[in-house]
Amino acid sequence: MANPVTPNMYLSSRFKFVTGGALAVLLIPVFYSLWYVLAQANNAEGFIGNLSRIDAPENANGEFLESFLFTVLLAVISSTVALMAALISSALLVEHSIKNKFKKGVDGTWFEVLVSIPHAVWAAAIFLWLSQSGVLSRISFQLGLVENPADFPTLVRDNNGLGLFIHYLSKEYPFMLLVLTVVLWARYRYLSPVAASLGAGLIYRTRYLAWPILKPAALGVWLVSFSFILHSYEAPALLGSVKPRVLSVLVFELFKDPTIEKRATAALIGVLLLVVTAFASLVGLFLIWKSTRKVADV
Amino acid sequence: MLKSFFKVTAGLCAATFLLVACGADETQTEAASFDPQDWDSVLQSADGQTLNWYIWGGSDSINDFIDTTYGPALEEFGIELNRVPIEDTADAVTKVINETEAGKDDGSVDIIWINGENFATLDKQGLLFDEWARSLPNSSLVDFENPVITKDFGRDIGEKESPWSSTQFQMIYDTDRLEETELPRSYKDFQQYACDNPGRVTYIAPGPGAFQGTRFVKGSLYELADDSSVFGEFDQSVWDEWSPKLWESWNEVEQCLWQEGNNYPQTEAELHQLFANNEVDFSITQAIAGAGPLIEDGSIPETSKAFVFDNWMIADSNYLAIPVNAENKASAMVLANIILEPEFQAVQITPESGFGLGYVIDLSKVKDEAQLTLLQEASSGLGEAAVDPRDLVASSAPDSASEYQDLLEQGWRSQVLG
Repeated sequence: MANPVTPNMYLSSRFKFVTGGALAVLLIPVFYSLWYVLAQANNAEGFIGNLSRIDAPENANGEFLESFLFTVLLAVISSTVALMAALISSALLVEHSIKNKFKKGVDGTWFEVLVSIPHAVWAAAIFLWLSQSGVLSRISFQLGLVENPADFPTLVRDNNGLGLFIHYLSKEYPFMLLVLTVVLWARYRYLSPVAASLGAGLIYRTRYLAWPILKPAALGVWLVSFSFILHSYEAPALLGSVKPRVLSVLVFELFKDPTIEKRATAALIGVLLLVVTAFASLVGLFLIWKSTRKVADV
Repeated sequence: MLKSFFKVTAGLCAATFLLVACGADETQTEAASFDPQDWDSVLQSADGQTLNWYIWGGSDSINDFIDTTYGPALEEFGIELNRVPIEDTADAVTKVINETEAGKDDGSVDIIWINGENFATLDKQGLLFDEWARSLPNSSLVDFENPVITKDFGRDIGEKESPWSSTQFQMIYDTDRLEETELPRSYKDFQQYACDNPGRVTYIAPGPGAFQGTRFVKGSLYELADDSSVFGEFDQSVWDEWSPKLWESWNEVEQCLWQEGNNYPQTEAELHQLFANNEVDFSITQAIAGAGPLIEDGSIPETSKAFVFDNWMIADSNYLAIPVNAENKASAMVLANIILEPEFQAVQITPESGFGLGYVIDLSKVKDEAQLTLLQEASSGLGEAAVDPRDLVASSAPDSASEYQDLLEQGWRSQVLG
C-alpha cells in the first residue's frame, strides 16, 4: 500500500524551494529583531543585563512574567483541549463514514467553513454574542434570567482568559478535525474493516490502528496551533483583558510606547517568543519524525 | 533546502538594499525650494503636492469633518489631501523614527495631529521640523504668551508645533437615568458614588494610547494634593510624596467599580459602549461641545449631557507637527495655516461638525467684525449637551510635565491593577 506521508516527501525540490523561501522571508525580521536587541544592549554583558531586567516596571511594566505564563498556558490548554476533542471526533466520524460506506469519506463542509473565517471576524462574533451586553446577555434579560448586564457572567475580556480559550477552541478544533479526518480516512478505511473482520473491537482498533496513524498529524497540528496562539494578536486584542495581557499584545504596546527605550524590550520579548516556538518546534518535529517512521512500518 | 534558503535570502537582501539605496538617492531637494519665512514661496512650493496627514482615525464624525472641511480648502491651493487614519498617534511616531533610522529623507509622514508624550518623544530625538509655526500668517491670531498654548505637557513647543484646538476633560451622564443633583462633583464624590452604586462606574485604564484614563487619574492626583502647579515641572520628591496616596485612594474603591475593578475599558470607544449599553453610569469626553458630537455620531444616547467636577478637570491644546524628514513640508504649513483661519475655528467647535473641540486663537486678536461675530455665535450655540463655558473655565486645570505621564501609567498598572 502506498504510504501517503514519507520522509522523502520533505526532500522534493519544490518543497525545498518553497520552504527555503518562506524561511528566508520569515527570518529577515527575526534577524533584524536580534540585531536590534543586540545593538541596544551594546555587548553580551548588556544583553544579559537587559534580559535580567526585562520584568522591571520601566521595561515591561512589570508584566512580563505574568504575561509569559498566561500566554504559554493559554496556548497549551487551548491546543490540548482542541486536540483531544478533534481526535475523538475524527475517530468517530471516520468510523461512522466507514460503517455507512460513504465513498467520499467524512463530509467536512462545516469545519471547512469554520476554518475559513478569519480570526478577527470570529473574535468579533464571539464578543458580540458573549459580552455582558451581547446577544446572549440580552436573551437572558428577555427570559428574566438576569436583571442587568452585570449579572451576566464575564465571558470575554476576563482575567482568566475564558473568552480567549473559547475563541481558540472554536477555531483550532475545526482546523485539527479537518486535518485529522483526512489523514485517518486515507488509511484507516482500508485497515479498519480488515481488523474488524478479524475480531478487533472499536477500542482495540482505535488504540492500535487509528492512534498510530493519527499520532504524527496530531503532533503536527498541536504544534501549529500552539505556535499560532503563542504569537497571535487579533483575538487577544479584541477579547483579552487589560491584565494579564497576552505577550503579543504586550509586545505591540511596548513597541509603540512613546517611551522609545521600551522598543528594545519589545524586540527582546519577541525574540524570546521565537526561542520558545523554535524549541517546541524542534521537539515536536523530532517526535513527528519518530512517529512517521513507525507509521511507515504499519 | 539550505541552498534555496541562502539564495532567496540573498535575493531579498539585495532587493531591500536596492530599494533603500534608490530611496536614499531621491533625497529631498524640495526643502531647499522654499523658505518657511517667505509665505509666497511656501504657497508656490505647496502647489501640486499631495499632503499625507497622519491622524487618529477612530471617529467617523471627525474623519468626515476633515475630509469635507480641510480637503476642499486645501484643493484651492492645489494640494490634494491624503488623510492616513491611524489607531494611535504613536503609530505615526514609530513610522517617523523607523524611517529616519533607515535614512529615509523623503519620509511618508508629512504632518501629524499630536500632543503630549508623542511630541516629547519626537522632540527629544530632534525629529521635528523647527522654526515654521510662527511664520504662518494666521499665527498672529494665537496668543503665544499663554502657557496652555506654548507648553505641551509642560514642554515648550517652540516653533515645532502649531496649535489646532483645545480640549478639556469632562464627564458624561444620561439625563434619563440621573438627576443633575445626583452627579458627583469631585473625584472623591465619584469614588463615593461608585461605592453607593456598586458596579455602575469605571474609568479608562491609564496607559499609552489611552491618555484619557491617565488624565482622569491625574485629575484625582491634583485633587489629593489640592494643587496642580506642583506638577508643572518634574520633581521626583513630589511624585514620591503623592503617588502612594493616589494608589491608596483608588485601591480603596476598586471593589465598587465595574467588574469589581478586575477589568477596565481600554479605550474611550469601549467606555462609550458600556455607557450606551447602560452597563455604567458615566462616560467621558474631551470635546468643548460636550456630549454633542458623540450624540451626532450615534455613540451615546441622545439624552446624554456633559458635566464637570468643581475643579481639576484637565484642559490642554493639541497641535500639528511636521517631521524633519517630511517630503511635503510646504503643503503641511498651508494646512496648519488654514486650520487657524477664524472661519474654520468657528466651524470646528460646533457639535454638528462632529469635531467639537475648542478654539486656539485668541478672540481679542481677531479684528474682522464678521469673523469675530462668527466665532462668538459658534461658541455660544453649543447646545444642551455641552457644559456652560463658565463652568469649564472654573474647573479647568493644566496638564502636568510629561515625565509624570509614564510614572502614572506604570504605577497604576503595578499598584492599582496589579
